[in-house]
Amino acid sequence: MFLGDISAELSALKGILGHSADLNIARIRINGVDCAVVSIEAMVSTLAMSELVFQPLMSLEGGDKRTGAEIMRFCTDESLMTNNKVICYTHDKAVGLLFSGFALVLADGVPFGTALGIQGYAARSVSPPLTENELFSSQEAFAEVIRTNISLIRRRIKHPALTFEMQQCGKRSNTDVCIVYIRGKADMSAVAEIRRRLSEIRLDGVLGCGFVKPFLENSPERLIFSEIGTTERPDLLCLNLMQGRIGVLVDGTPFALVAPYLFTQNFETVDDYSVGSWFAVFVKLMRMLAFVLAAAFPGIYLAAVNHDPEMLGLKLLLNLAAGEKTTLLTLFTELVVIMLLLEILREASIRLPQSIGTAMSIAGGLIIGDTAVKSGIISSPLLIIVGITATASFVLPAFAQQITVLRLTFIFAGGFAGFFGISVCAVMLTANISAQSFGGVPFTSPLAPLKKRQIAGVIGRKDFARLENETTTTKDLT
Amino acid sequence: MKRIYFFLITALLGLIYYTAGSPMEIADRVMVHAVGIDKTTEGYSVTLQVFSPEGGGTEGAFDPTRPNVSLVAAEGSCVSDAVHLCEEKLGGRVFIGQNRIILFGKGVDLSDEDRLFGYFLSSAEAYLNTECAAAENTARELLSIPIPSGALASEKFEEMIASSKERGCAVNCTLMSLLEAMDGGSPDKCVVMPQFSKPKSGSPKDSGDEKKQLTEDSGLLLDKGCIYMDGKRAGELDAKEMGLLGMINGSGDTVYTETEQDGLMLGKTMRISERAVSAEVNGGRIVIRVDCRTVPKDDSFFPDERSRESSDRKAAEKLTRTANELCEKLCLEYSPEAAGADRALRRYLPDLLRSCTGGMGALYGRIELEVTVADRG
Amino acid sequence: MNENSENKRISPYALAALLVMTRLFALSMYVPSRGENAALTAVTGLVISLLKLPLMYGAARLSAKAKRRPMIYGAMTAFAALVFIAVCADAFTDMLESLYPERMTKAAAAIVLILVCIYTASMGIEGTARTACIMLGALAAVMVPILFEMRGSMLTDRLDLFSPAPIAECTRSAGQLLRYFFDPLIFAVLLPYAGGADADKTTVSRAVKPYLIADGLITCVFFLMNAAVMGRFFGQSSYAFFTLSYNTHGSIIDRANGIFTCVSTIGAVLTLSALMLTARDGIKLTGLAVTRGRGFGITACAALAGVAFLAANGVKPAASAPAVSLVFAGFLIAGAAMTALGGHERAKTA
Repeated sequence: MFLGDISAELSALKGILGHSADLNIARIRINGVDCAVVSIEAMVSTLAMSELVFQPLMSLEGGDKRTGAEIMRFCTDESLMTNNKVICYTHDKAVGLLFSGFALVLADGVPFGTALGIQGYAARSVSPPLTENELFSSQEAFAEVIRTNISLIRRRIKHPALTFEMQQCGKRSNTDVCIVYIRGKADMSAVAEIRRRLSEIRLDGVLGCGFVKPFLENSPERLIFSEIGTTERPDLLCLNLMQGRIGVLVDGTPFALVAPYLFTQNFETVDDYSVGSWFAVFVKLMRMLAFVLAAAFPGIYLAAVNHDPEMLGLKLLLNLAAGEKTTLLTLFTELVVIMLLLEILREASIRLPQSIGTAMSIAGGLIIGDTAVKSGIISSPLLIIVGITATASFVLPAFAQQITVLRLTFIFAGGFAGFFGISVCAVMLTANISAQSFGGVPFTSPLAPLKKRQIAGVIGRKDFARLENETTTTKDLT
Repeated sequence: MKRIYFFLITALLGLIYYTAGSPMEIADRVMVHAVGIDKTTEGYSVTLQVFSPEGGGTEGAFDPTRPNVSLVAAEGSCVSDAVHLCEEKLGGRVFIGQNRIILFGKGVDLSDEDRLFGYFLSSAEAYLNTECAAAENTARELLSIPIPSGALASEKFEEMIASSKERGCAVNCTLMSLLEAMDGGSPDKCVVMPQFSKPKSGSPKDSGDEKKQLTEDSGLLLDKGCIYMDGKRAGELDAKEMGLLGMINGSGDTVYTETEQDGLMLGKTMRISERAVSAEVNGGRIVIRVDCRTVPKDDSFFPDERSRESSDRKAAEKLTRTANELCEKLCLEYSPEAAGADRALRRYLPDLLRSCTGGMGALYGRIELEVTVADRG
Repeated sequence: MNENSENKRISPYALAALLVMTRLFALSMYVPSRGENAALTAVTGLVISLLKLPLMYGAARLSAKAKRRPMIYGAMTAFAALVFIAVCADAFTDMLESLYPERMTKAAAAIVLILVCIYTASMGIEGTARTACIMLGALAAVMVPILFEMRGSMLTDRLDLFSPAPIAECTRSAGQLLRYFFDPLIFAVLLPYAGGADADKTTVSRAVKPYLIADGLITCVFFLMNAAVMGRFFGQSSYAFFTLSYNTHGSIIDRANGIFTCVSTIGAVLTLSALMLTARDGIKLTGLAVTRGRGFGITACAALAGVAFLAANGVKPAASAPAVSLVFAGFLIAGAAMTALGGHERAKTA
């Protein structure tokens, strides 16, 4: 608790912060009253500090004699220094606000401090999305600063029912986490459940939405696909909010979480609403096909070639047989090796500096691909399979993790046990997906349970005429 | 259950792989795409046309301008033994799943099912609708003919049967229909197969001149059908008779005929648009009626509507006449089973069949086949 | 919100989808008798589908008052389900071994199959039923074009109802069709999940009618296709389902026997999962306190032990399928009658 002795307060703050080098204390006397402005280095804007704090305070010097309380009243009630003023009675609260870019004004003899929000820390500005590119939609993505993200959402939904609830997560990081929903559309029991789960996070540090996500999922140790979605697009989050879903923003990460998220939503983009509904159907089916190609095609190919070669046409089979006769490894081994190489290349391309990205493409394509075929390590038909699989996997970045692992799983299943293996794998995977739900909304809705009115949204996009007359919430999916 | 179990159970599929006998890789398989079966004194001689890629290296798998085949033959007491001997010669496992054609030589008895078809039926790879055809002399002779066009020599057999059938000059016989005829309970085990032969003249010269070879025909002739009864060759049908037979027994979609137009004989391929079968007992005779309606497949240019109608009518009349002649020939010389009489009896006169103590064979002598072909008008 | 509630409902249509998958499995295991006429079998199948109607309504009546099911009912249900699991696992692994003799061993396939079914069943009735719905749609989308492409091999002249002894043949076919007659048992036990403790007539008819229509349609199409494609040869084929697959010749996929293997496998997994859920519910009704995982574990171990014991003594579980089916169908009829007459029961909560 603040007691009013400014020296003692400053010593206490130094003690709490461990005499940290980034603690800035500016002590001044205003009309004989000892005052101090405390801030954290590089968390506040120097310009704003001088214009909005120092100048108004210094204007009191030489004027009417004021007590410490009067100086503090000037800061809280008699001036518009900033629009974000918080009165702190405890050191803990003060420290929390200092770390959030507030400047703390203290006056001797006053048992509280006034925190003024003049954030000026370095932050990345709003930039185009990296993982969810669209052609006809907004080119803004979320940024690391939660307040900026809030403004991106508020700009798009100018309705008083849009609600933001802020809370802190992480025992040491005290990261700002914001629950966003539209009152009247979102299921309030689900909101309450999310609030409860966030408050029960006992991690030391919450450094991104990936730290929060497992705590929101039901049985995260069981899931292959998460019922909590992730997006870096504000427009997509707003679309989900208007469908009655709940968003969770985490400070320091340019992604938002969405709950409940359906399996079929991973095939949806905002561009679907920018093109004709007939084209949206086509594109969605292509995405679903891409998912199957990316995850299961190599395994199915292996099962067909090794276990049931009569499934393939004669010419194709002869080409494959001729190709495999000259290679060193068995088809199964070739496929596993090339898939692992593909993943190594993909991982390298993410971590590489852009300047040598081209060199990596040449290394990957020419050296590994072309030379490997010429030297007989792998066969050329296999390269086509790998090319199709790799291309298809880039269609759905949301499924990158699952596709990578499932692809290898299906390869093992198909290689070991043919179509029996593929089938059992597919059934187990489907059962795993089908058993999930969040807030009473099954993950496989509206396919199973079948919701006829929502099916149009799965295989394509509802006509705007229909969207005009319908209001959809998550209750329609239960 | 936790996610880890999903992956563990999938990994356990390896138990199936590693406890299995001898899992075969695609590279270890020998692709057979034509089988020829000839009768020998001790059993059967099997000739296999196998895929043998020539050239291409690793850029392209094989060179499609070359035949890419090699022949291997062996003899055994049954087809299965002979094929296994072929495997020993080839040093790999025969893959019969993409076999295109089975050719039967002259002396082969199709009713010897176990020794003849046991190999195909015991393999889960075999395609039961593989084309079957008869060879005029030996199957080996036909499979030895070098067919320069296309990468796969055996496709020529299929293509010739398909195009003749489309023209209305052949019927096809699949392994399934052959098995059904031999083992389906019909008394005469009658089946009709297209017959391939070598042309008497004009077989490709062994000049080594590739260009000249490419311009010559395939060296095969398909202009007859072979009729089998009780598994043995009983006679031959010409191309037109085969087409008519397809119309009568329902296995064909088209039929070929020739009609006179302005003093010229014109060939017409007619598509069978409707076909209805009925059977009744009439004065002690079993009359099986086949009523068809045909439309010309390729319409020639006619100066007016009347000429077209006249041409269609003449074609229909000619077809009626020739079909009934064929039916008479079948009933007298062979068996009405070739025309589908067994199916008609089962379907339309089951009570008669059930009441007949001698079985279906006893009824064949009383069968009359009547075919009526109407034109589209 | 309790995400793991045992009382969550599934749609009656989802239950129907699950039952359809069990029928697909049963059809894929069908072995015709020598000289059998497939068209006649189609008619027999249709009649059996119709006869299932009163049986399933009776089974529904039996399960309707879930609170009053006696312990003996639970024990019989669990035992019946275990027997059927043994029968189905034995039959399916036999089939796999015969189709892929060089690539499958029966023991390994059985172990994997049972584990897969435990995993699927552990996802609960919701997971299993929704999986059935999704898989049914996917399989229909794949199979319909394949079957459509077979029309070139079909000859409608081969379709006839002739048989030298039709009654005997129909009886024989009926016996074969009833080999895997556990639909009423599964229906009776899982119906409360579709309609709660007091499943009303609408719920029951929503589950029964689509199932019986689908059953009749699939049976008809399957056997008539067999008749049109294979004619009299149908009677010589083992596993008619796969013999039909050897006649397929598609434009994208040449031979579809791998697809047919998928259909059969998916049907087998869902069938066994449904039976495991049935057995688990039966065990719970006996009063044994079992967790979900333990219940499935007990079921699977008991089934495997049973198969191993019988196999060691030269008894093939698959061969006893028709007799077992009829015994438990009779049990269901008797149970329904007892419930209807207000027979002697002890109050027991599920």
